[in-house]
Amino acid sequence: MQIRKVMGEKRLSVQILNIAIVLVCVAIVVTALSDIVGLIWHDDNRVKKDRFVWALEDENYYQLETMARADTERSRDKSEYYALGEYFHEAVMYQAFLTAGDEERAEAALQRMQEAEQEIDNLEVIKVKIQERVSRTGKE
Amino acid sequence: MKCEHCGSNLDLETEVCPYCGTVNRQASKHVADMKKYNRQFTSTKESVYSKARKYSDVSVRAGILAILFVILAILLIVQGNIYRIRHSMQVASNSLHSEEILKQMDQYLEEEDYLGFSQYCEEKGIRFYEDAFEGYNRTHNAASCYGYVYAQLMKICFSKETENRDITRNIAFLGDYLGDFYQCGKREKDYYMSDDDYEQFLTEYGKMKEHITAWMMAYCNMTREEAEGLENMSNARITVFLEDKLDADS
Repeated sequence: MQIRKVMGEKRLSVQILNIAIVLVCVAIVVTALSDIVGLIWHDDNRVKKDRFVWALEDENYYQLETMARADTERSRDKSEYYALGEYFHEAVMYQAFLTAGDEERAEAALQRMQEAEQEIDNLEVIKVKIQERVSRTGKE
Repeated sequence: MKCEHCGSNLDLETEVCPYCGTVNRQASKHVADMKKYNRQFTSTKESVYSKARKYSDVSVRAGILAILFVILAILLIVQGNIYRIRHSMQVASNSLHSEEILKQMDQYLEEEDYLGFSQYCEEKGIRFYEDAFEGYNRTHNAASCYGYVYAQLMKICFSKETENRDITRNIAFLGDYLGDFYQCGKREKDYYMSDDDYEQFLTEYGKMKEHITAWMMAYCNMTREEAEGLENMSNARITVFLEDKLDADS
């Protein structure tokens, strides 16, 4: 009876400790994975394609430029949007240098616009809208 | 011991005398006592073993649990300091690849891509107090201000949802950022800068100023003299001037 009593106590406390060990091990694995992800996969400054589409729908070309510049993913399916963002920026600079009479810089900006144009296949319409908008804002 | 009947020598465990056949009463008692002692000994031994095993199991598991808690605590501390650790790793990486980074920074400056330069420095986490990069500190400060001016101007000129109230606030911000930019150029050479670094800064600052002048002329309807005159105004005066110019446009 004494032995049975002792054996019973042992089972309960040991079982509780076993469960605690398992739980702590799970917590360690989860935390360690989180640490590894945090250390390696950082600066997740990826911009979803939808946001580029929405920016274009809103005709918010400056936001398009900002997102294109900030997007660290640089995936091929968004390359046209990056090109449009760059095109917008160079169009702004071109208009500014043209107004200021800085021909050399205007020429350089125009060249960069043409380089960005080569990436734009399907969004020609947007490109034209950007041109008109920048030109209109510049003249105003 | 001796047999009670015939007196021959007997062992304690001999139950019957081998010579006369008399029962050895002392041996019987001895054997019974030995059996009883053996039973008690076995019982006590099992009790001791089971208790020892119990405490051994518990203490080993408790020790393992304590060690696991320590490991978990360390991992949680690491998690809480992830940013600092990553930053330290980045700083170490920058030191190792300083030549490539400097080359890229120079390329941005050569192309007069000050937005790209500023963003690149931020992405790389460049610390300008390090020897390799300290010469670019002033240029980076000016490029940051340049970026803020550009962002505000774009918000004012190209933001579709800007209302009048927001325009006034954005113009105030633009005035402040312009003032901050011009202040970058008014400070004298820092003690840690070489003459070459300071010359380079002045060159880049001059180019940035020309960009901003062009923006003011194209998008704020200023003449060249007005745009260049902003440098000599206070932030508040720049803001008032911009409000007049941009109100005149709208």
